[in-house]
Amino acid sequence: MFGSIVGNGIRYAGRFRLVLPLYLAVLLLSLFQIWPLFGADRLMNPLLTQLADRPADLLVDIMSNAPDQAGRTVAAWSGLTVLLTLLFGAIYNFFSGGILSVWHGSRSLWEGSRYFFLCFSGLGLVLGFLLMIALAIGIGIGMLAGAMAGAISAIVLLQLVNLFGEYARAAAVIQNRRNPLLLLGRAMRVVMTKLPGVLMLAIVGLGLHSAVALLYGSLTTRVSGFPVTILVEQCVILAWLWIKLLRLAWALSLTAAT
Amino acid sequence: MRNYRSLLVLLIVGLYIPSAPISAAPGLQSTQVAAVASYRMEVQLDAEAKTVRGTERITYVNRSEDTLNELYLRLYLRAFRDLNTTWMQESGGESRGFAIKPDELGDMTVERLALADGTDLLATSTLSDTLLRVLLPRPLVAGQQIELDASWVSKLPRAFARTGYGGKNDTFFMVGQWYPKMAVYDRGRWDTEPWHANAEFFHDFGSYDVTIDVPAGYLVAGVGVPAGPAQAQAGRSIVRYTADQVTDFAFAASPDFQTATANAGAVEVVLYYLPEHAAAVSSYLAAGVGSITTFSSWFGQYPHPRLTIVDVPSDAEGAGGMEYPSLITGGTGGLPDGSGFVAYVTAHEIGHQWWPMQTATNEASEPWLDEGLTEYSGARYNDQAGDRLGFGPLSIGPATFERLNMTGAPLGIALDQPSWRYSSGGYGSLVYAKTALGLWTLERTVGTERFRQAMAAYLSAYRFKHPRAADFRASLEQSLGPQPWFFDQYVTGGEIDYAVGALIPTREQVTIMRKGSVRVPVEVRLTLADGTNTTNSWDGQSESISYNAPAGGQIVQVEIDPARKLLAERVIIDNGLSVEPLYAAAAQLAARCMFVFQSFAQLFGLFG
Repeated sequence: MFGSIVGNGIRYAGRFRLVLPLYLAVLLLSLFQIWPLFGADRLMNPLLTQLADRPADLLVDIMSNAPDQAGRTVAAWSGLTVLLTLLFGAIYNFFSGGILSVWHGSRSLWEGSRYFFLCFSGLGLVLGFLLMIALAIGIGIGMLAGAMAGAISAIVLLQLVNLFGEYARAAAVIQNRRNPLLLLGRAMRVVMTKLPGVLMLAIVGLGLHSAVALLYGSLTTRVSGFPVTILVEQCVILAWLWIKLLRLAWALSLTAAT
Repeated sequence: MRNYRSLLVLLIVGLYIPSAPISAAPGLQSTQVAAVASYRMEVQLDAEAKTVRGTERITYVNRSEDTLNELYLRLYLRAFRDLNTTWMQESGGESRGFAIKPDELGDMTVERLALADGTDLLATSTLSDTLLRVLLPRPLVAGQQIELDASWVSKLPRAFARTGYGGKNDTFFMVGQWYPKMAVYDRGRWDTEPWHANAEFFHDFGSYDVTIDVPAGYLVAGVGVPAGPAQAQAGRSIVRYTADQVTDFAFAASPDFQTATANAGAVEVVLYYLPEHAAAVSSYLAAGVGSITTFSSWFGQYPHPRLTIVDVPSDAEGAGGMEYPSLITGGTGGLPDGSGFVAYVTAHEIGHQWWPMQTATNEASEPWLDEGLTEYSGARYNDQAGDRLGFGPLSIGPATFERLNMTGAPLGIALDQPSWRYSSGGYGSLVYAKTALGLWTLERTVGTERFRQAMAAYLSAYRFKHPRAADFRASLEQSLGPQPWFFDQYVTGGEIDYAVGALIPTREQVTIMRKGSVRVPVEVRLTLADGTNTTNSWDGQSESISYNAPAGGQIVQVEIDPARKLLAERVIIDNGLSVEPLYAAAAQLAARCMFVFQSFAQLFGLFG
């Protein structure tokens, strides 16, 4: 039974072209985010070469040269980053409905995406609220029992909220429901009734994400040169994204089996 | 070892055999360390009352050529007795972001002060702020020594400004600046400056023999070396520490201390750490062993057989990051291991074992000679060891950290002023960071080996003495030749700043401007259209200089200080110009930024 759930999930996620809309979205957003770098006067400064080699040191150095101006630039760039991340979240809310619908066989990518977009956006807002609560609890525990205990508590709670979100999306497609709060309740019920399986799949998913991060960490010290580096980095982004969809596929497969 | 033996001879003659409170001091050979103020103490820590009660015999030798009619004792803990002292008025009751609690102040009360023959001195003494002026019944002529007996009680504050208690159930004690201590008579005058908020200390060399009585179960970490294992006695634990050629004594005590040791050559490095910081043990020991070994090879041997590192609890960070002879306090800053904080603090405090623990400069009136030299030493060690502050790609190297710290430095303010003339922020950014970067720049302009030899020569000339800024300058310039840009311009408040002025449209000539007041030599690299480049040296004496391309050639790129020798240069963003867009570099940087953004977006955008 559990083997077929795992196998179904992998088979769903094996339809690799479904990753591409999300990958293209994050790629385009990142290009938009770096556009200010290509201002004419910046391209004429030889510091660009050093900036590419040791970004943190030189960025801090340059910012400390003119703290006021740097502060405004950093604030603007940070604001843009947050906005683009929210936009990516919205794109994920759009395409995740379509991807799950295609796997479930109930709708096409576009139909599913449109059908569940508002529902998943609402779910995203609820999850954001729960995320804040999880962070507040983590900080509270940190103040009472030390920073390490607080950090661990916050990470565990965040993972739990993330898990509820994944199973709520799966439940929406399987049960054709669009009430975010109701779906969250369904997700909690699935998580509680299938706790060992849910935990095992979540841990495998986390393990895969960690493996990609570790692999990237070890590769960065071995690869050099612009084309190879960018290729490795984009492969890492793609792999990370695929693992996220694998987690969704497992959630769909497990929820369908209940 | 030679000095060590000499000091023992001196101690035997000077400390233990005198028959009168004032007597002739033993003669010194030229190679002997001139012990001035030595202490033999018996002290008891009351862990409940948070007090230390003690008795001491001070043996003071008048090494000056003057006759002394009075002495001064420093009672540092009186700075924390109320909010009206000089220290409190200047600091507003805050130190390093920690505020002192009015119901947990410190204090020191001298209960008895007399000559060794019993002649009372306390009645005729006058107390002002943290200084006790003691009138002598008989003049102390040059070369004579005097013995004073004192008993006192010190009340420790909650961990604050380097001293106090805290930790689990308030059982951690860092006992510093805690006993009646001789002020310094140097070059014809007593140092009678009260203890200021920014200031540290100024002490004479001598020996210490301290017997410390603590509750049973407490482990004691002290300056020097323990003279045998702790002895249990009536529910108490008694340990004796001795130290020679040192300027101060401090100790830490806790029932929770665990120890770890390592060796830096013949030097034993002993870490007293708290269980909650066990993850930091390897960082402490690596930085401890590495910096002792490195500084010994750069500047001169570490002079003691042991170095003790005391880890402080997170709620007592006010007692962390402090130096005493052969003992330093560290701390994790509340950060997880791997942040680089432990390595930074440990290397800095161990740097103090050279400046000022061997060159006993006046840390209050010339703080750049200890904090500046030490910050430079620590940063250089961290740089060589590959230590970085922060985590992974968000970490920065020591030079960047110093440059970041210098950001707050007020323009035009000299870095060789007394500590009490600075604001708290200006003190850190000027005395620490700007000095460190200036010395690092000096090192890079004269060459690392030459600079280290010069620093070693300075240490050799003034080891166990009281050098001043003029001595430091004379010694360095004797080794390196005149360095007016550093001593006359940079130290006195000048800034280093160069900029590319204009590249004429025909690309045949470029102008470089000196925007800062410091005229330090600088290199300028010109890259020509045919791909060749030339590096020119400019002495920086004029306000600008122009460089021409060779006949028929065109300049396509100009870089000021391409090797980044001038680490103290304030603004570097205007140091280069290229006539062609640097697309390849921009693309490489863009790819890196893209990856950072994509990772961030996936982490937060794919939630749920």
